Amino acid sequence: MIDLERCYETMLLGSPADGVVQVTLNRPDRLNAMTVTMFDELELVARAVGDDRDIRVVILTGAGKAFCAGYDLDEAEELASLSALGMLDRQERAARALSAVRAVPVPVIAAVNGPAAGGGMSLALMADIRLGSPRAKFNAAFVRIGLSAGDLGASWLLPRLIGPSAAAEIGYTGRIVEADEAERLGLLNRVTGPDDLLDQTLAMADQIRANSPGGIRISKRALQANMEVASFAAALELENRGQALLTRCDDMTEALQAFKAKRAPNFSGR
Amino acid sequence: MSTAASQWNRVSRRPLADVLDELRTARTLTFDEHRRGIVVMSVNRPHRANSQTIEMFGEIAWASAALRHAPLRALIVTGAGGKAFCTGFDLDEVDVLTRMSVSEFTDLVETAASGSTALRALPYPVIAAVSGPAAGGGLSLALAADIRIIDHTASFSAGFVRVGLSIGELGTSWSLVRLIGPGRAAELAFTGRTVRAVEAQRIGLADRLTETGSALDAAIELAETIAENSADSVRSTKNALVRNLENNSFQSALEVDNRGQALAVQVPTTRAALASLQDQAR
Repeated sequence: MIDLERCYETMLLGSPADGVVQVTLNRPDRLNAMTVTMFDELELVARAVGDDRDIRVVILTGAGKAFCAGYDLDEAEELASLSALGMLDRQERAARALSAVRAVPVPVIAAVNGPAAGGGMSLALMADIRLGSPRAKFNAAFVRIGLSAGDLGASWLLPRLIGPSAAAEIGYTGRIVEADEAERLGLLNRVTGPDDLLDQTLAMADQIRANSPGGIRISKRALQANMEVASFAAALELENRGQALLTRCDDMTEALQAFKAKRAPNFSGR
Repeated sequence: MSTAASQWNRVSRRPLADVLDELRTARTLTFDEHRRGIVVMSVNRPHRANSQTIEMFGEIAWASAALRHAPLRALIVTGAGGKAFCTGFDLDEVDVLTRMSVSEFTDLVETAASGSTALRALPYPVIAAVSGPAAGGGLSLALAADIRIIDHTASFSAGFVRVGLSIGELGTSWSLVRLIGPGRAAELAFTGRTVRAVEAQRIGLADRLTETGSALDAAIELAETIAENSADSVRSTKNALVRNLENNSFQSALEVDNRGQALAVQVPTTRAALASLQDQAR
């Protein structure tokens, strides 16, 4: 079970609805910029979520005005003094944290409440789904500080999400992508109203929670794996096995009984 | 069957009349030749919103294998009656799944998956003409086509998770992320929500949105436009698109393109077309 009472230095944990965990990056005075501590805590929380079968959806958002401004420039100053391999350690630690977020077995929805820049944009890309308020904006700012947009999986995920051409433009210019454009590009699934980002995110979480836990979990892994698998035949094989597995679980039978009795199904996830 | 059937060597294109004779023994699908070389395959259970049965999965797999040898320029897939494209597994029959052994279920999904694979691999374009809902296995069927033409009544949903199954079926997880991107694919897979026609076109799930009741006509018109081009060129183009989507190597994809193009120039009709272009330039 995840411990919602546990105190973290860089984030707040809460449960706005049954089975929903909200992770709020909480360094609002620094626009929720990332530190080594935040990476470590993100990894811890992501793993704890993965161990808790009662969690159905994770919401990732930022406290205050920003979603996440990327690596904290105060801490970034220190980077210049690190050895090349010392920097590699730092980079791998960050990548481990973001990979852990992507590895969460249940759907992760990023509620992008404000700017998501640099590593903050990469973090938003780790989510399965992104909803944004009109104040959401994205900025692959890496090239503006002498780094590359090949950071924390962005160069892999961004072209797959919005296509290679738009990804190149955003990566090379480092320009700001406002919410409306982000939605058009597919960087955001949807732009919400100015004040109902979390409400709409919770509504989507509810829609997801109404479906079978096993079906969602196997769906998420199939979408992730089959985006990485080039072969259609291998993708089918993976799908066939997942579906066979699910016919051995209780939820399909329950769904059919519920359908016949014209009632809502009561999924157990077993 | 006509006498030509007995002479067919099981490799070459078979006379269309023979193919249609065979396929018209299907119980859940119908086949109509609309213009020369353009056949419409309809999911034919309109009384059940064109939902699918085990028999239908078998028939789609069998038909798409038989159609491989049909002398067609395009296949159009649609739903009989125009009210529904195909609404996935018939919930009145889906009980069967709970009584199947693992081995029987594997037979079913492997057969059904071979239908998606064979439709994708047909040596001519496959166009889905979608009126009304395409849900679950019906969405998968629409995704197995090269192009999707829809009218304003069309809708799409990945309802798998609502019945305890996953979107991982019939190639849907593979196709959907490539067609509309991972973010939108995840949302539709996890919520199971219905995407209406206008949104479907906006996110690329559909390629063209036509007036209500005209999806099939628009698909036939598109098939005719495609048929104006050389059959060999269209075949080479389709194969390159389908195969290079599965090809991780850009170099190897270029090699496929290069060989295809070199081969295309050896086709007499291509030579004639190139020669006439040269004449016009003079």
